[in-house]
Amino acid sequence: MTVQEVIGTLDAEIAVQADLTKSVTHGYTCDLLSEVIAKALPGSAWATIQTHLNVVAVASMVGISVIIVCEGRTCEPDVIERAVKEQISILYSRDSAFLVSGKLYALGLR
Amino acid sequence: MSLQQSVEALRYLGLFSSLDAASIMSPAVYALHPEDRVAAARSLMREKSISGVPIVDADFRLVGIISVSKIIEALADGRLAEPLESAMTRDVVTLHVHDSLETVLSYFQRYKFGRFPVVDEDGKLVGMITDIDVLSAIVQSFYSVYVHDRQRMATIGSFSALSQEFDNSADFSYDISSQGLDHAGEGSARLKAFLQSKGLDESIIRRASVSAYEAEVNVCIHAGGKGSLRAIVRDGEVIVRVEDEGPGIENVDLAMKEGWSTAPDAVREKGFGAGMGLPNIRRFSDHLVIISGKGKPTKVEMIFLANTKLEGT
Repeated sequence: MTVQEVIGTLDAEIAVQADLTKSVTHGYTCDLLSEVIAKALPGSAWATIQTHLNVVAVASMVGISVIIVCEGRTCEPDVIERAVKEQISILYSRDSAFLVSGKLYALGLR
Repeated sequence: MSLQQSVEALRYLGLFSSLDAASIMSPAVYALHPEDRVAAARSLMREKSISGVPIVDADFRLVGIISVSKIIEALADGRLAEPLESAMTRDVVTLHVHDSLETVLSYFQRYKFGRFPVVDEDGKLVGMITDIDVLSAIVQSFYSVYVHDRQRMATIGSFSALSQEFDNSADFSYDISSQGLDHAGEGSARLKAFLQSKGLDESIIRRASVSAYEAEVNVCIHAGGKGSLRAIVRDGEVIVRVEDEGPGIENVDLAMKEGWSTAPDAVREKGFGAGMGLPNIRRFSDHLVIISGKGKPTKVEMIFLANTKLEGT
């Protein structure tokens, strides 16, 4: 599945549009960065409510395919800028991380 | 810190996890039979300079033990010519071959005896453990940790817990200089790119860069963002050293515990400071050395060997 297909399913707003044809192979939901960096798999769609710069750093380190910022939260311009530089797509969803995870799970992501 | 806590802390380092009673005990054991005379035990003890002799039946099953104090009693009562049966202690406190180091230590603490017989599943005597045996086993397991590390084998003549290669130069070097947390992880991102340029295996790149990230974030949270991140790549293996200028880790054992953290609330709100940093490094690295102390600089050195598989992936 691609980032584009994730966007369609979640009905999410695109905050940073990197490569939308990028493959998404796993999913992970957590706000503790140490957990994410230790356990999220490369190619994951990552659902979180964190919105600061380190989110992009962690996503880049892990090889996250797309970040989904939940609960209607938004990122500051410097975060957007960094994500553009690192070529990582960021989506905004009004849903909770629970709902986002459920929808991704229904798509077959694990 | 109690003995129990110390042993628990050591278990986090994986140092003594393989030590059981079977590997601690002295397997060559002097034993006597119940029908042997007390005098025989007395001369055996004197000859071999031992302070207790286990008593076994014909099948080598443990039936009792005789100690110096019992011999003295027998001597005073003029019973040296009587069989050991009449003088030995019958309800012997024994260790089992599979008992852990903690159990062994707790027996020494609880019973205050100088020695414990070790028995197998059938109750047969297979060895004895004295305090000297415990000490030797601990010293040897320290040695085996180093022997398994080829780098240290090479320099074992002038042993140092930290790799001495960093004294001269490093293949990768980055000065950590971060105000706050915003730029935490830049050094590790560069390290990751460097390791990729070296054509290393995906798994070792991930383990090394994730561990470097955790150590770098620690420098940013706890050490004012001032420090260095260096790496050496050799034969497909990676050594990473992260150093800062203090204020140091007061209790490294506690810092190794999952969930233990001294990070301020503002840092925690960002999803850091969950007390997973050092435990993550411990999990991802093959060898980890932390040198620190209250008011001192912290040095964290991690070694990543080729072909180590990450658990859960």
